[in-house]
Amino acid sequence: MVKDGPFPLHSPLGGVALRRLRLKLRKTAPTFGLGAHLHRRMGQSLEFREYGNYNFGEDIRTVDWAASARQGQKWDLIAKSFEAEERRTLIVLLDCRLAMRLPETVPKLGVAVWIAQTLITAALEEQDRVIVMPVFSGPTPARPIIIEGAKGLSAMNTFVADVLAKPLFQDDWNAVPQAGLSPLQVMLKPSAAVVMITDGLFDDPNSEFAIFARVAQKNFRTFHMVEIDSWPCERARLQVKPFRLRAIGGNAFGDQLYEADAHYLNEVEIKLSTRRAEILHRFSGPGLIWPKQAMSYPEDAEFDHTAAQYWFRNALPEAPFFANLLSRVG
Amino acid sequence: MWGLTALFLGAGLCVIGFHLVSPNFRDIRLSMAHLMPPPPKSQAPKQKFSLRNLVVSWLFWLRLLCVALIAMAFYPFTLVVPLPETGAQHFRLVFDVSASMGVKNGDGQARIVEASALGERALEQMMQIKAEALDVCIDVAFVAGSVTFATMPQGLARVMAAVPDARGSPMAALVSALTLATPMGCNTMPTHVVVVTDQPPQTVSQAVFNGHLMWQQVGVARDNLAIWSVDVTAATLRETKPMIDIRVAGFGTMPRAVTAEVEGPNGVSAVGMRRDETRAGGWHADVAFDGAGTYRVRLLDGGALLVDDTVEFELGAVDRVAVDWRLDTITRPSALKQVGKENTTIVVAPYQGVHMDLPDGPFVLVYDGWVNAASGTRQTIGPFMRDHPILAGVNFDVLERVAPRPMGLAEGLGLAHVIRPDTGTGTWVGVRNTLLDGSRGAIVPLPFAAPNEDISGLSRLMFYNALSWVAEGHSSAAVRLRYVDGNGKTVPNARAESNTARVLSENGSLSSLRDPVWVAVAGDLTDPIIRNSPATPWLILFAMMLILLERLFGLIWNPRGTR
Repeated sequence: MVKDGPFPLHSPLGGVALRRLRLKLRKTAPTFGLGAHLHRRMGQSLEFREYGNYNFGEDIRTVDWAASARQGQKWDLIAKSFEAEERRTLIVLLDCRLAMRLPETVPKLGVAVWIAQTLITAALEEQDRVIVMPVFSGPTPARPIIIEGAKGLSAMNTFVADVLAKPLFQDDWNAVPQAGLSPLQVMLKPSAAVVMITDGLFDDPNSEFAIFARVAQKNFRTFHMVEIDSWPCERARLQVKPFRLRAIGGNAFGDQLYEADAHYLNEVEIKLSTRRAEILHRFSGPGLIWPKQAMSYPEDAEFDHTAAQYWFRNALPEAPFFANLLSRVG
Repeated sequence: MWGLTALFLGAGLCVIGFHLVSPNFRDIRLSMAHLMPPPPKSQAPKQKFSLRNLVVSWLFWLRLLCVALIAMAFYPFTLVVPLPETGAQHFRLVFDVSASMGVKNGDGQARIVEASALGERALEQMMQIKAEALDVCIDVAFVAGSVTFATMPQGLARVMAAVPDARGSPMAALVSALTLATPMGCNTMPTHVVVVTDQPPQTVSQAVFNGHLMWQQVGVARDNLAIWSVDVTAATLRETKPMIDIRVAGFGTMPRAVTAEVEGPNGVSAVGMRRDETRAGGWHADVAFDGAGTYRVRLLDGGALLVDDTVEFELGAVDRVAVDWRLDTITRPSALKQVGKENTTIVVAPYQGVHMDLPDGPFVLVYDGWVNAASGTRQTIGPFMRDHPILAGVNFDVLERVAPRPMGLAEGLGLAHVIRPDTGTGTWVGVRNTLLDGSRGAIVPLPFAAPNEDISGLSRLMFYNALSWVAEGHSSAAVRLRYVDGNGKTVPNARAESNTARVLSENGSLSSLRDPVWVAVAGDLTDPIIRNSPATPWLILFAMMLILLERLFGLIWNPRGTR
């Protein structure tokens, strides 16, 4: 199978559709200065909260003159109070393991970037701060990418395009990737939400990631897992007989030819479920939100990026994480 | 040929092999392979090459066809196409042997030598074509003023031993040789003509000749001087004696000085010529008339061409202008000679009004403008010709004060007003200068009995102005020039090839003699014949179209870019 050009990193969702999306984060999430998210705290916004007596020194513009007239007393003025709009921080963790660069025609990392763009655009629409952190990107931890406009988005796309452009055969498939989360520890406070976009099959032998996930759930913060499942597509590719399985992630299969029967495929599925359960168990905390159903590739051995764009436009609104993280306006 | 065949067979086999060969397994990379146990081993033997069904692969067949077409384009395949060409081919060599072919190049070799070699090569080409085809005729036309023909092989012998003729040859003679019918030999119009000459290539209209024309110019540019014209100005009221005006044309680099040797009836003199500011590259000299007789003018160092350096001409008695003086009231000036009523003399006579038959030649007609009481009164001047010689020195204040009686003018006869009163249709002075031979005529007032001094002075001034102006226009005597060679023998058309300084143009290859004539030769329309045309361009065109088609089908059927 030959790849037909570089994977397109621009989101298949149109600009109009993207701008109608809003982040839907937990109301109790801590905030960082004034932003656009409604929060149960009195402050300045256009969202009415309640009436109250006007006190000397308050903004005279908040007086509801009609209500005050109805009150009848000459100096008893009624003032309106509004919901505060506060600024939050969204941290997006992008799983950049070698395995995320597969399948070759529609790499999971490419789909992860599409999802990240969706979240980032929604956050930027509400003036929130966004930090993108590539994890498992290699022996040297990557630096966080702070996104405050189109320039930041472009920096993220360039980073991912460089990762995807590397020839697969030049990488060390036997190397066990490191999470590389140390630069992010200092940025965790105060943050509204951490979103990890991954296939949920990574290795975390030193529990570095698990520790981070638990810390991220403290202080009423949420930790969202957005899972991309490419198994249906890759399972379809295993129907070809015979095949030669190339090395990846510390597991080499040699030059031997194989055939995958139904029994073997079931066995693999059990392994995958076990790995997910392990991670769920280790990450589990008060703020972990990990929908049971992942965003799954179609069961198509010839699935390519043209088909992927169409699939993404339809699959995204149906994905369970979409309902947890995003809402549509207008 | 065999090498090419092997090369293209190899290319074809490569295309076939590329489609035939593929392994019987696929390499698969799975993102979750690190979690997978080893799959069950396959019992199928591992084969890197396996046969595929080629018949269903349209792309394969398109690619194979591309290779085949490109291969065929390298072979001398031909297509049979009908061409509107006449069956018989008539080759003609037009060979210039005029005087200018004797001009020597810088190396001292005459142009005719180079032309002979070129003509010989052209004839050899023609004979070679004749040896390969059945209906081919060859002839040679030698041009030196007139055209003479020769058939083969005499034509070739004459070309090889050609010497320049003493005569010059105008371009019209060369062009006429393209289509002149041969008195013997070939019965058809020429289809292919090679012109070997020192004259520059000409554009010949298809109406004149529409066969295959190859113009081969020889001879590098050389500087030349030529005697161009000789005019004689007779003695008039203004000149004291007749003059001979010699004009020389220069071609190429301008010399520092030009000297002419003038041999008259009474001796020989060398005359230094002056630059003629009115003509580019021109020189001129005025020589005093030395009596009636034969004159011979020769240029010393006259440049590359010799035949245009010497002229002879005869001059009669041109010392005085002849007039037919019919006036009694005024005496004939002695500078004018009284002769009889001949057309070439100036008629000086009374004007008899619009109904008078004007003389055919030059004339000065006078009318008595102050004959009755109405004349000599003040009148306003109307339109007049500015700076006309007849009005030279005329005081217009006096003219208005003692204006003559206006006369009617027959304008239909080419007469024009020089000056006229502001009112009425008559004129005071009229002229005619529209005759082809340049002779002039004037009508002026002249009192037969002058009433006062103003009228007398005014009228005589205008009369003599008119006489001088008419005599001046009449005094140039036409000279019949005769170019002669060193032996005194007349050289026809000597001036036709004086420009030997023309730039040498690029000559086409004689191999194009084999090119077919794509248009029917005038006067010889016969049925078109069948000829072969190379198929290479068509094969390459089809191959390119197939490549485009293959890419298009490849995109439609296999958008992922796999073969």
